[in-house]
This record gives sequence, C-alpha cells and structure tokens, in this order.
Amino acid sequence: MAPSSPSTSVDDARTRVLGPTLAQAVREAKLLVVGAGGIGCELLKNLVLTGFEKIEVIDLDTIDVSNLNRQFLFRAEHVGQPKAVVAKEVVLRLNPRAAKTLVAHHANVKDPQFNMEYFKQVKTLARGNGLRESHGGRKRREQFTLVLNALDNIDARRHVNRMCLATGKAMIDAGTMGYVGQVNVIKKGEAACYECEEKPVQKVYPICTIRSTPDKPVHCVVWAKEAYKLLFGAADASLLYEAPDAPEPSLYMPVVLARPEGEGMEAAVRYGFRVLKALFYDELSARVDRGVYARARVAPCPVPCLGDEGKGEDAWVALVEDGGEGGGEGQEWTREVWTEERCVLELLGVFAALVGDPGRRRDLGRYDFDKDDALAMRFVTAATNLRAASFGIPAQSYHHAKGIAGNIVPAIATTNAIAAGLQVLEALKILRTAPPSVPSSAPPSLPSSTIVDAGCRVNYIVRTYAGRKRLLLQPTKLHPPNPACFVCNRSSLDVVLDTEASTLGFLVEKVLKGSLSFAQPTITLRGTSIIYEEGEDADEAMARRNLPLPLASLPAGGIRDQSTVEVDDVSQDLTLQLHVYHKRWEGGPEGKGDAEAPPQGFLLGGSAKEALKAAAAAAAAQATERQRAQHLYAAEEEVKSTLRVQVNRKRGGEAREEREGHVKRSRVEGRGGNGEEDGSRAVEVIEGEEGKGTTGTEGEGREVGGMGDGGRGAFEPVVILD
Amino acid sequence: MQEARVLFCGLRALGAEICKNVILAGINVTLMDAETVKPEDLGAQFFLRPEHVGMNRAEACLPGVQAMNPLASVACHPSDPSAYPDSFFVDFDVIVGTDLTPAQMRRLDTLARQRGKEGGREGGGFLCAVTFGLHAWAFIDLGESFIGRMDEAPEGGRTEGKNGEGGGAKPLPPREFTLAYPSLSDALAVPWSALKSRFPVPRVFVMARLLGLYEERHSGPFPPNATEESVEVFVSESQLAMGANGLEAGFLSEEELRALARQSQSELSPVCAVVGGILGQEILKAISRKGEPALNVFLWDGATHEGRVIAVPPPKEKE
Ligand SMILES: [Zn+2]
Repeated sequence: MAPSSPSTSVDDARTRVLGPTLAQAVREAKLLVVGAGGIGCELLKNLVLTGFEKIEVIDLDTIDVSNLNRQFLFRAEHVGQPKAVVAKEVVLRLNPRAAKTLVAHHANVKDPQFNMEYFKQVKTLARGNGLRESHGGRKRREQFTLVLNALDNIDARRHVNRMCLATGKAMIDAGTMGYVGQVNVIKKGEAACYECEEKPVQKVYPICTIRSTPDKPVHCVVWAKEAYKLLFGAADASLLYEAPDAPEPSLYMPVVLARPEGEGMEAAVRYGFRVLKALFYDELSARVDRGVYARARVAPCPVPCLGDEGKGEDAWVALVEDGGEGGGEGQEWTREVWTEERCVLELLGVFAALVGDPGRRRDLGRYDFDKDDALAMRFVTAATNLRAASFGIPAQSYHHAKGIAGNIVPAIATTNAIAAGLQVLEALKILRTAPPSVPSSAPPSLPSSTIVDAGCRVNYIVRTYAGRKRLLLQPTKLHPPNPACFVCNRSSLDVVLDTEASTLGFLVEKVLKGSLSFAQPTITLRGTSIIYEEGEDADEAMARRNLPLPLASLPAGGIRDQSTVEVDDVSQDLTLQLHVYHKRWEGGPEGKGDAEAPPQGFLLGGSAKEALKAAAAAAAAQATERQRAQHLYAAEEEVKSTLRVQVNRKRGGEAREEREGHVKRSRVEGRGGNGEEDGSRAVEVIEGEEGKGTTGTEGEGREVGGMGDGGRGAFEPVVILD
Repeated sequence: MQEARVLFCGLRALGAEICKNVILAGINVTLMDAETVKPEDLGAQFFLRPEHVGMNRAEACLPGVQAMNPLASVACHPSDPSAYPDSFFVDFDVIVGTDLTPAQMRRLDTLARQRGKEGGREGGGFLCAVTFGLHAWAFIDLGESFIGRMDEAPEGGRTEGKNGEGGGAKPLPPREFTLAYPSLSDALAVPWSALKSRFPVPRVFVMARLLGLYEERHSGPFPPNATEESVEVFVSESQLAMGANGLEAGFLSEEELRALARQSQSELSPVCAVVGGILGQEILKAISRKGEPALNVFLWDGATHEGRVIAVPPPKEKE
C-alpha cells in the first residue's frame, strides 16, 4: 500500500469522528465569519482544522502589539497589517486545500458592500475569489450556510443580527467578558435574536485610544493600570511595554528600565521622578513634536509641574521627605479630587514604598493590580489624573477612580478559546441535520426549522462551578423570541425625551444610530410625511433643513408628546414604530443640573417604560403623601398624644425614604442604552451579575451564571480591552 | 507566575491547545514527546504542518510554541518520561499529561504529590486529560493540601487604610481555602456505581475509564484502524467491566461501545479547544492560587454540551 498523503490521513481521522456525511457537509458548507480578533483567531483555526474550506472573514482592524498575547495567530512582524488578511494567511498553512475558497475582507461589516444581497449571495457579482461558474457562464457566489459572529462590540453584532434575520440565515454568536462568556444560536422565528433582551451598556475601547488618544476618564484609568503593571508588575504584559527593538521607540522605556540597583528612599524617589517626567512630560512633548496629534481636535498638554518649568527633581525629593501633603482624616479624602501636585506626590510616595522599601522591593515584577490594595489604587488615581490633565479630561476622586477601575474587564484568552470551540460544535450540530446536498458540489442549504431540531443550545461559560450539577459549561435550551422585541418581532418602542429642546439631529445620531444601531434610517410622520432619509437617492436638502430643528417644530405637525414615528431602514430590512413621550428635565436638553435627568438626554425602551411608570407612581405617591399629612395633622389635633404622633411621623419618614430609594433606582436603570460610562453605576452592573454567577444554585443555566431573566446580555462587557 | 514552569507530556491536539493557553499567559513551558509527527496529527494540531511529518513531535512544535510568546522560556525533550529520573520532575509546578500510558500517569502523579510534601516548596500539580470523539475527561491533582485564595473578597469585608503614607494599612487578605485532592490511584479505585448521586453515574466518566482499562489490559490504546474483531473484544470486555463496577450491563449500549471504540484515538479541533480552554484556566488557577480550581475530575459531554466537575471519590457526607 502506498504511504498515505497527509490530507487523506487527516480526512480519515475527521471522518472517524464526524462520519462520512457530516465530514462532506463540512467541506461543502460556506461560512461567513465576522471578526478576526480574540475569538475570531480561535474560531478560524478551529474551523480550518475541522475541515471547513469555504470561509469568508470580515474584520476592520489592523494588528496592534497588545493583541499578540491573546490573538494567537498574530506575531510581532504582523503589527500594522489587517487582521482578516493575516489570519487568513496563517490558517491557510493549516489547510492549504482552502487556498482558493478562504476570502479575507479588510473592511467594516456595516459597509454597503456587505448588504443583504451579500448575505444572501444570490446576485451576480464581479470576478474574484469564492466565485463559481454556474449556468450560462454567469459568475455566481455560493450561498452562506451559516454566519458566525466573533465580534467584540454590540453595534456590529446588532447589525449582523439584523442582516441574518432579514436573510433567514442561522447565526452563531459568541461573546466573552473576562472569565464568563456565552455562545448563542439565532434564527428568525425559531429562537430569541441577539436583541430580544436589552443589553446593559457595553464599552469597548481600542488600544490606540488608550495609548494615544484618550478622551474619557475610563481611558485614563485603563492606562494608569497598565502603567502600574509596567512599573511594578509583569512589565512585558503591559500595554505600555515596548521591546528594546521596537520601531519608533518611546522615550520612557529606557527610563523605566533604569531602576536603581539598591534600595533606599532617595534613590527610589529620584527614579520615580525621572519615570514620571518621561511618562507625563517628555514622551507627550516628543509625540506632539513628531506631529502625532497634528490632526487631533486638541493637542495634549504635558503636565507642566513635571517639566522644565516645574520645581525640579531636588525640590520634589525634598517635598516627599517632608512627608508631602499626606492622606487626610477619615474617608473624606477618598472623595476629594487631588491637585496635580498632590498627584505627583502620591506617585512618588508609591515609588518610595515599592522600590525603596527593602521588604516590598523583593516583589517588584510581581505586583498585580487590585482595586482593594490602597497603595495600588492611590497610584492609579494619581496617574489617571495626571494623564487626564494632559488631555483635558476631568479628574477623578480616589473613590470614583476605584469604581471605574473595578469595572474594567480584560479579555481572557482561555474564555475566547472555549467560546470559539463551542461555536464550531454548534455549527456541526446544524450541519448534521442539514440534508445531503445535491449535486454534491453545492453547499448545503438549510431547511426551515433547523436550529431547534438540531438540538442547538445557548452555552454559558462560567468561572466557578456552582449549583448541584457543578457545571463550568452550562447548556440551556434556546430562548424563544421575545414578542416585545422591536427587531425580530417588529414591536414598538418607547422613548422619553425633551421634544422642544432636542433636535432631529439628536434623534437620528444619539437615539436611532447611537442607541438602536440603525444604519440608514428613514423617518416618517403620520404615515406619509417623510421628514428624514439617508442612502442612495435620499433628499439631502430636506435632511439638512430638518436636522437642526427641534422635534416639535418639524414639518407635518412635528414630533410631540405621544407622537408615533415610523423609522425604516431598508439596508437592515427593519421597521420600527417609535412612541415618543415628552419630558422636560431641569437644566436643558442634556439635563445638566437635574439629578433625575439621564446623561444622554433620553430614555429608551424598558427604561422609558420604567420612567413613565415611576412618574405616574410619583404623582400618585405625592397625592398619598398630602393625604397622609392631612391625617396626621387631624390626628395631632384630635388625640393630643405626642407619643402617637411621633410614631406616625416616623412611619411617614420611612415611606418617604422608600419612595426616594425607588426613584433613585429607576434613574440608575434609566441610564441603559448607550449612556456615558459612570463608574458607580457600571459597578452595579458587574456586581449584580457576579453575585448571581457565584450564588446560583441550579444546574440550568438560566439561573446560574448571571444570565437569569434580564439574562442573556447580563454579562455584556462594560469595558473590554481587545 | 513568571517563574512557574509547566511540563507538557504529549503534544497531540489537546496538549497543543492547553500549551497555547498556558504560554500565552506568560508561563514557561517544557515540551516532552517521544513520538514522530504522523500525517494524521496535522488534522487538529495547529503547531504542525505537512513539512513536519517524520520529525519528533516536541521538536516540531518548539518554534511555533516559542513564537507565541518570545519572552517565555520554552524547553524541549524529544523523549519519554521514562527516560528521566524522578528528580527531573521536581522542577515543574504543574505536569500535564495528554498522551501518557496508565503507568506513566501514576508515576508522574505520585512524583507531583511528593514534591508537595517536601519542605520549602509549594506543592506541584498533576493533570491528565484525553478527548475521545466529541467527549473528554480530565483528572486534576493539586496535592494533599492546596491552599488558594478566592477571586475577590466580598464587598465590605475589608478595611482600607485611612491614611496612605507609603501604602497605608493593607487590605485584609482575600478569603483563603484549602482543598485536599485524592491521588490518581485512589480516584481510579473507586467503583463507578459509587458516583451515583442525585444525578446518574456520568456516562463520559465511564467511557473514559473503559478506554483506560482497555489500554492497561492490552498494553496500548485502542488502535484507530482496528478490525471488527478487536471492536467486539472491546465491547465484551467493557460489558464485564461495567458489571464489575456495579453498573447494569446496558449502561452503555453495544452500539455506543462500538462508536466509542472507533472514535477512541480521534481528536476533533473544537473539542480540544473547549477542553483546552477549561484546563488552561485550571492550570492558571493552580499556579496563581487565585480562584477555586476544579476538584478533581472534569467531564465534557459532547452530546449535551455540559462541562461538569465531579469529585472522585465522591464526598463522604451526603448533602
Ligand atoms: Zn429579537
């Protein structure tokens, strides 16, 4: 017998596990993979090794140094190149047979080229890879059998969700946050779609924002944590670390590495000063000089007190030796916002403690940031604020910085690996039930009821096994579609905003695109009057005319309290009836100054309903309160018993507190949608979810793993770095 | 974490997956594999490419493993654990066996436990795992008394320095816990029927043990291209073994046993990815001593998609 070639042996091995029918279905299926990052790299590797050959992959990003420790297909020499293209080339080496059928798109999945025709793949398209000859010599693309989502942001996942619903494609979505994750199978009419549950705020920050162009406090906190790691922890795992041979080296790396050999306070503080000057002054000045920020709105301003105009190294050392400004009494200091000078002193104090102290010095290189370690948190607060000062971002108190820091969830490579593996196993289930294709060269198309019959599951990944069944991987039945979902069930949606102050532009950009992920909305009033449209052949003059107008002043009667607005998006095949409720918050449309006002200037969906209910309840409560006061007064007059009156007054007080508590809670929830990140609020999201994750008692994943009721999205990342 | 070292004995697909996850986390690794790369290895093992066929498997993997993290140290031994004295294994914080004979497993488990007893060192860990078709099992042994810390102290359970001069008061240490792991020999001596709790005896555990017993009896794993005759031998021996362990004869049907035999040596990439991710995480928990590691058997059921942790032997006190 002739020695078997590698590819036949590999096929034999796969066929033993999959069986001949499924092994063939795998070779013929055509997949769309959206995303080639943390999950995408793992997914592409698994797919190719499982025997899939026809794959198109879309990713917008290029490879960053910080991707290398999680996105395992990428190497240092790939930095700067498109993720989709490099990922394709690397996985091709694992299965060269896929050379002609693996296609990479370095592009945004929301681009018009990936329209519904693309998802359906029925239109005659230009020559290129992945095309096949069909009847009459026409070039025709094959249908996608399945769509796999490996995205890290809600907006793109929603878009792909809508495209799949519109084209009837089964979609396997994966998402991770730290040590937890989920893999969900979606198909129109069969199971809940990605948007059937409202998702809490998710924020994903690109690395370059953290390293070069921060514009929010949280960006500075992430940077400060990385600086802590660079200086005292596993330096090479820090986002700010640069290998000695890095192109365009930063000024700070050699300074950071020149740590004093011996212990001793003064040497440590002097080292600390040089590091701070390099990080917060010299490096930023050099970048400004290099023109890095030439196109930025505002160029950063290096921290002056660390520069040549500052008091200089010796003076700082003397200040630290004098004991600096110190901490302060009680818990008050945690709420203060430190001055720049105080921040420098705090940081120098940390250098003195960790580098100067013989006991702690031994652990240098091993410090792990922990928000409950006061010293680490002092460092992060002070570094956050110096960074923020350079970029014109508001400074944070220790307390607030701690809230933000505790809420930053890093991407974890193992969770991504598990999620991507589960995605492929779900894909195999679907293909297993697909009928054998005839003729054999055409990719299998799926019959109507596929993912339920195939036994697909929602898979949850958790960190700690809990419950009677002690599951680390928890499957549950697919959730049914939510009748109230505006995406897959065309349900209507409520929005509360100030119709007299908010403009049409605000409605389009912040509400429809920013919060509801519409791509090209058309807005119709009273059934027939179009007041806004986008896309090809759109009436741009009308859009320009109407965008600056307050909603109430729009033509066709405007948008006022209890108006119903129709929003259509042809590109996503989506229609929405939006019920508008007017509310004026004190302090203008942005609601500044009004404690109850949502920071975004509007409330949406469930939050809007809550707010409307709360407003009604508050009105009712006010009436009761008035009645109760009258009763009290009457009782006082009548009985003249001071004791009894006191008891009643106390009860009244409790009721008031309860009501205030309720209002506060609904306000907090009201910040859903795309609210600005707010440390304290966001912390609540995470804590609630973790609490559930570890105390769940049942093996069924709906209760365990923090995915109960409001569930499926409950562990959406608030902040992910990827 | 930076100084920890993990030994990988066996670099087929599952070994490679776990190794990838460990080295990406910045941990030093040592690769040990006596086998040469065979054509069928290429199917699920991403460190290997066609040009590696015929090379030693550990040596072929070395460049790919190192490239994943140029800062971690990677060592390579193109041989079998039996070629090394007991003292060799003392250097490793965790030993991972994915392609070991039953005798080698017991030896390495014993060595890892001894390291834990000797003074001056933190206990070593031993972990062995196998995938068969869509299913997998893993055995974890972190020694007689493994001390770890919970991920996070409960809110409000800590005090904070009032005044941070040079660090202020330290936060209270996170809650510590101690786990006692049974040895591999003790775990394997448990009759399978004893694993019945309020849930039935886990099928995947029984499947893994049947393949393990076959390997012990026949001095080698069930071969991938075995004759129908050998399959029937496996079926009848397995039925006897189930009976001897207190299970009814039909606990696994003949058809299930035949399918198990046919898939025994086959690794499927996504199964290795799932199990490799879980075990990679368990190794990181063991090394960092942060988070509660699994005690002591992990089972992945590819039919139900459940990934369960069971204690073998089961805890004495019934809940
Ligand atoms: Zn839906």
